[in-house]
Amino acid sequence: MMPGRTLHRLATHICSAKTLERVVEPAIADLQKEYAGADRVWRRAWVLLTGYIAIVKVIAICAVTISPVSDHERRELVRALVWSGAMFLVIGILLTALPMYTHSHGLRRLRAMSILAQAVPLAIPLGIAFGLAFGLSARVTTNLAKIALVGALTASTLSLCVLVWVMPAAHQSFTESALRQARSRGYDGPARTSFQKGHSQMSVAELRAAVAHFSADGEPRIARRYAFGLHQRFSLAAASVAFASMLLVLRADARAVRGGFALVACVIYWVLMFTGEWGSRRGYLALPLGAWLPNIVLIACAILVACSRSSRSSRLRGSLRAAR
Amino acid sequence: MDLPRLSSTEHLILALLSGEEMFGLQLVEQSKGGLKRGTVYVTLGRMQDKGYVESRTEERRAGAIGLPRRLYKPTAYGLRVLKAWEAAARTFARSPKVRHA
Repeated sequence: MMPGRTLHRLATHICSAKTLERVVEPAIADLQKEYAGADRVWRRAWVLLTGYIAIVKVIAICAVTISPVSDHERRELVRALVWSGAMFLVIGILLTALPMYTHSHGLRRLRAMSILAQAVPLAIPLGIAFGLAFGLSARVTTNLAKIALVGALTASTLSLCVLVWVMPAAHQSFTESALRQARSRGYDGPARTSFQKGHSQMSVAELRAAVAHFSADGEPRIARRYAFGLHQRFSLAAASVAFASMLLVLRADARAVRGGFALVACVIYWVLMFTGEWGSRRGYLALPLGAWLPNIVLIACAILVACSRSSRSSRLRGSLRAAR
Repeated sequence: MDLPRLSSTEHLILALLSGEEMFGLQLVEQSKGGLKRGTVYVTLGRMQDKGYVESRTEERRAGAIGLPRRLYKPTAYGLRVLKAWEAAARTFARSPKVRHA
């Protein structure tokens, strides 16, 4: 068997047809020629090692290189960006406005800030999912997919900043103000020093300290709850990338069908998030696995769909070539 | 005016190709460490986009297995750029250093 076939298949998913023909295939051809010419076992092993390293390097360069954007791609990107922004706003407003009205007037603004800080990390991935579904047409080029993934990665970074720094501070500030207002109305509860923070109010360092404290105190269930909260902050931030990869491979001509795909992906993510939490709190799943379960499942499904689609199209190309 | 640019790697490739048509791996071998096999095809692809080199796949012999290799040769434009670059390099090597007061 000639070496390099698997790498060739991998490259067909990552690189454009032009790059595949000009850059990857010549590198694989060199490896195959050298391998066929090698007469000793150690020489063949050396050829395979150096050849594979070179080809992986070539594929990695292709994967991170984004070609200049064509007019069609620019139009698609602008449309996806507008749709994502609009969906982010609608979802963000819905998630913020509805719970805000359950609070008294004095705290409404602070409560809104606190809820907004929690709504943004949810609205970002949902906005990305529906934005890509509605904004991009059925035919997504490799270059366009790379740019969309870079955009999703940027959105994930923004999400992470909110989850790690903004959300705990906003939540804490709201709780302190609520407590102050309650005291001014005659509430005689526990003193400020004994006030227990919830995991959404804690910074990453405080969450780590709480996990260590409860583990040492012989409270494994509470420690697991805090540890799960810690992992979930990072996994929730990565949701944009998981949604983007899923929706970039699930393409359909009708916009409504693509919207349906986005909705199904969101529901699956939500179900898996709760399954992961339930499993890890009861010890059936490792904590990082439980927290990352929805991202892992969505990205794995996206890879499987992309692979099966690519093998189908390469079979089609092969039969077309044979027919010619 | 958009002047053509030539990096040191591109210059090396053009200099090696000015003699004969070569495969990528031959270029790596003849450069004596100047070119790496992981990046030579990326550079050759970029040079093809710029119009410095052109390529064709090798002719397949009966019973040949595996993918066909690609042969590269410089274009007339590439050779002109190489000559201009070498002339500029010679000129700057000869010119005296400018001293600032």
